[in-house]
Amino acid sequence: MPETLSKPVPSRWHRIRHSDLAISFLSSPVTVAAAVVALLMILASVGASLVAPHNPYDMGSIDIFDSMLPPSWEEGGDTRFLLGTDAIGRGILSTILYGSRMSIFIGVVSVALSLLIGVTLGLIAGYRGGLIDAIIMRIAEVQLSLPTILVALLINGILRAVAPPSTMDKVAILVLILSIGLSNWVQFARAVRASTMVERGQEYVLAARLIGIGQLAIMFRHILPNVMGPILVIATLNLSGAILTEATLSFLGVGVPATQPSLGTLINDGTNYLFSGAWWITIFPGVALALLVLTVNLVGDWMRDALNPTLG
Amino acid sequence: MIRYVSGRLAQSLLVMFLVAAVAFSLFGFVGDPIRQMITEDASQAEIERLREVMGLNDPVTVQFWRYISGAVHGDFGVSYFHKRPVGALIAERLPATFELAGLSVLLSILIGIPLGVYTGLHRFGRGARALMALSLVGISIPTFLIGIMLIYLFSVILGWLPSFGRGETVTVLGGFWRTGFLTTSGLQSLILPSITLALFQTTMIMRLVRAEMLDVMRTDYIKFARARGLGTQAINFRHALKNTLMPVVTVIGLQLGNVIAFAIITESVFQWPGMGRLFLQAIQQVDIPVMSAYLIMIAFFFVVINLITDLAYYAIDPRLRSNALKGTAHA
Amino acid sequence: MSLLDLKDLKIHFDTRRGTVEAVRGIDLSVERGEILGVVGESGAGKSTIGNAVIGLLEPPGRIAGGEVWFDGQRIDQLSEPEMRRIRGRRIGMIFQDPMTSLNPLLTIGDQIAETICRHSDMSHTQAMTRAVELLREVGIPDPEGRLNAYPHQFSGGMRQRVVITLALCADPDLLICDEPTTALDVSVQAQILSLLRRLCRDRNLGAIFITHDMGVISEVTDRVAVMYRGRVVETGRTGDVLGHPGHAYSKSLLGAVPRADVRLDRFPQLDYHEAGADRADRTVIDLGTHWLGRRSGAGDTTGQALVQVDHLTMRFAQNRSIIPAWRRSFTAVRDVSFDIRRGETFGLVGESGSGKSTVARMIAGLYDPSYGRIRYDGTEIAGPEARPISPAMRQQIQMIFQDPFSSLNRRKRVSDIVSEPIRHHRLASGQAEADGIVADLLDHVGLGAEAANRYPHEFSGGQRQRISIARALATRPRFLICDEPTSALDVSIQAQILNLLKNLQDELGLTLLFISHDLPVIRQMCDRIGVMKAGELVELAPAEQLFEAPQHPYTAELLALMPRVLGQEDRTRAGKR
Repeated sequence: MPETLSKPVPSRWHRIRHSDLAISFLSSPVTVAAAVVALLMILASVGASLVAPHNPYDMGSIDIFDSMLPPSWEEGGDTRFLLGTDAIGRGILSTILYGSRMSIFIGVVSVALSLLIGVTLGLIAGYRGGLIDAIIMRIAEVQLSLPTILVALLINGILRAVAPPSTMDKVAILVLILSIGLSNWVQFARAVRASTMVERGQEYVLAARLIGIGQLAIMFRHILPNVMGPILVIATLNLSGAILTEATLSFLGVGVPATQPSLGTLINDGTNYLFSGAWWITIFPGVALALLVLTVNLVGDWMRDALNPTLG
Repeated sequence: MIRYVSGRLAQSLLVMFLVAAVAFSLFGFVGDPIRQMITEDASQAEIERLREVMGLNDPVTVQFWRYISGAVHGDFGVSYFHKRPVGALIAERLPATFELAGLSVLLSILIGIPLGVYTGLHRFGRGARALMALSLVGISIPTFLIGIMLIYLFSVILGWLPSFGRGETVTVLGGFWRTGFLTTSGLQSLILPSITLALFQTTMIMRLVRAEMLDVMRTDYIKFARARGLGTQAINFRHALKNTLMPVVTVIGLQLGNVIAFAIITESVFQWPGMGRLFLQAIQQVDIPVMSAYLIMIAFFFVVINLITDLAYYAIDPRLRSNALKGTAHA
Repeated sequence: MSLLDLKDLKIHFDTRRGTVEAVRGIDLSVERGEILGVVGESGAGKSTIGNAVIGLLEPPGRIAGGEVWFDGQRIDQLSEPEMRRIRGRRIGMIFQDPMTSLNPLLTIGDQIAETICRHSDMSHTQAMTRAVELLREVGIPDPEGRLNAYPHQFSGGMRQRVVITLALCADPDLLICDEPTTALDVSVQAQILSLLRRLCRDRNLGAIFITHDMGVISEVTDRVAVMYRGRVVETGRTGDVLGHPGHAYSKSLLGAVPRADVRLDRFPQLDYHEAGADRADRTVIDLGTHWLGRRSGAGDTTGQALVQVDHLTMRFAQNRSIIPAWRRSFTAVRDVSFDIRRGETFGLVGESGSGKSTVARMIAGLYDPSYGRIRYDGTEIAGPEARPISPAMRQQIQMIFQDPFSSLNRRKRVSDIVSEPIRHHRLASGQAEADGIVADLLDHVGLGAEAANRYPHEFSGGQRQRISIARALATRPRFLICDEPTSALDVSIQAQILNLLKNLQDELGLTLLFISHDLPVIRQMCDRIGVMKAGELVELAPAEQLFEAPQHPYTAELLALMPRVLGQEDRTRAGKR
């Protein structure tokens, strides 16, 4: 043997700290900064009820005389409302925090849904092959050529047709999650299928078959851990995509109802006042949305490059 | 060749059939359409007569067949909301969307591909890095927000360009096409929406072309071409770019589809009187005939794009043209 | 002055984890009309030399010191445009894989003409005429007709001829060949090697052959430089170095090369590697008392057939279609029959695509044969009357694979990998016993029990192959299928793994099916050998008989084309070659 095994077995922490991934992460200051910002935004919005200066949905705390105040540093601003107020006197900072909570919630849940569907179908299609693969992938192909927004709009429209309009507000969030989740599974399925088809022919899978391990165990215990990398990358990039889609649908008026606004709803509300010069009602939620999506994208981009070092 | 095309055609027809079935089944979800069309005090006899006239008493398969054959001739029924034939509604709005989308696609291809090639070739260059950072910002800002910011800057603050509508339009082509290209206000009105719509597509095309370029530049045949002393021009454009064409064609095909979807948003922001807004209204009003017609139109559009993409592959890649593909692979 | 002179050349790779010194100061020279071989195992740094000379070292690799002189000019500091005038025109290069070296979207005529035009003032038409001459010279039939063909319309060997044409079309003075025949089958390899040798002689070229293959060195080169870990440990005339290696590393390397002329009991023990060779203190397994002995039918070597293969045929569908006339299938194995006797090593040899691995996988139960049947110990395990294979039977047949990097699940610890069969078949009474068995198995394959807590990526290719062997042994098998178990390994590691397999077979009374494309390896390992060609079994004979008196013309051809290492035969049968 050219090499001996004299080195001690590294501890788990040592393994993580000295992994290629950790080294790559720490040597990219932009990624570290993006991850910190994204994490802060997510934490602040999850804890919105603790962090926000006001509760914008507590009617008692809103004063109509505070409406349309510009940001505090502008002429006529009020120090109580750092980023100004909207048409009914809610603080923009608080509505952003509560709004991003809704956006992130919908994003995370719909990505989880896409992941669950996509990974399962991708594993089955990739491992079994044949007819079931052909059917799953043909559906995926057709759906992939249809853009997410369009599919989400269609699903949304169909669900609106099924559910009477009166109940629409109550199920709007569920409809949104379903329509975004159902339109994004394809990416997971295709990536997992492609990886699974490679892994299926790998000799460790053949060895497991020779031991007599069953199909399900091979798929989920042997293959799945080896295809986690691409799944993670797609999940991250899809999270930003889902947040964007949610915002867009809400902007188009088929998203979350005005009673439980998300960032998209807030931006949509604000556009009505844009021409009267109250730019802050639209621009600040817009900046928050762009910053959230950008930082998540940066982390996702880094992850893709780090897990696939040959790519630029 | 015939086998390749006929296979693709058969698939396309199948897809169209399935989409038509989905579109038709939408009608089943809203319950009795008669109730949407009549006044409160209509008598039972009147309702029955209307049912008979509209063929609602026929078996589902007959209704479906009638729907398909109508759709082939451009007859998609009558809009519940507009109370007008859907075909006429679409014909009215098609030119607006077509002009907006066409201009944006052209812009995004003409800008996106050169930028992608540039960033792919000068991977570590300062300009390429700046462009990549910019493009990431570009795909992180939602289209509607870009539109809003452009309106705020150029219409509200500077007052240079109109913020909504198509401006003046002129009727051409024997009366059925209203174009905005021939008037000053029409052209001015096109600027902001087409930039809004093109921006996202441009960044996507640029990033994808760059990734393909990087992939190709790593291949053995590029290395071998360099080892033969070929010039940079020959390697970059003769050897590399040609090999990135296949994926780029795919991407452009997908982008065309994307433009349709993003046109809905852009039309909504700029109150552009196109098909996207028609569809959006239909969704909000649960106007099934319009939704179904839009679905079929879009599916048809996608199928045609896919077919063209496949034929483009065939033209680019000699391996697809060769029948003896597998015979000579190992010998 | 030589055509090419490398003076104290150093090549470094800067990585995040520090600088890797791939080449640590080497001096080499090549004269006009001379072929220099650079031989070494993986990690020796030999491949970076060719790229450094031609100025195509990929970042983060860089020339960290020394000088490259070509035809009286120092070229390691030339600018890129200056270097471009040397590449192709003065120095040509050939890479390993002909399948990926040609642009798939351009015709070969265009690619050749483009290169000729680049380096001369010929017109496109003149260049095409010249391309025809060149293609004829390298032995492409009907060169006029093939000018407009695309690369995918050529076979591997023909593509390598096109690659050679491209490298030589601007009349360079020096040709660098980086593993030029490694991706090719042995019969094609022989043709390409003789073509290259002829072209170098005819054109009075200087050439560098970079390879790991002693056979190639012996067949083609005039002088040879042996590299080990970034240094040249020995240079000299090829015959001298191979016949009387001076350096200890060269000796051990040559000793590890499997011999085609005579079967040895074991490969000579290697003693050069810095960290020591195989563990000498390996304990011998006594089946009477050992855990591995607790199996049915252990150690019976009575010479009866353990595996019987009857009229085996395998067809793969190439494309599925609704229309039957459009369906295509490919017959990988056609009507193959043979027996494997208890306790013997049965070899299957053939070129790539001959169907030998497909046969192995059918016997292992990974593929269902299209026709024919397979019996194991009298029970039909594949065929019309086969019943689902029982767990007890499943345990008895195990397999060792070719690729040490894909045969272990990279997400699992070695202990999990080796203990999985034990847990699955409940071969141990508890976790403690299972751990003990894993430790014992790892010890017996020469890794040591401390390997258990590590992940596969911490091991080298040879060590991983030992882990694979331990995993295969963990079901207490009687029959082991080895599918090219050493073809991805360096020659010295190959010798260790083959010795290990021989030891285990002796101790455990295993029956082996040994698949390889490498005739010398087959000769060293096998008792009886089947030769496969294009899915058919063309000859089956005891090893000695097959090598000394082949009956089938294809076997004779394979044996004749097999590259031989000069020194080995000089030492045993002086004067025969």
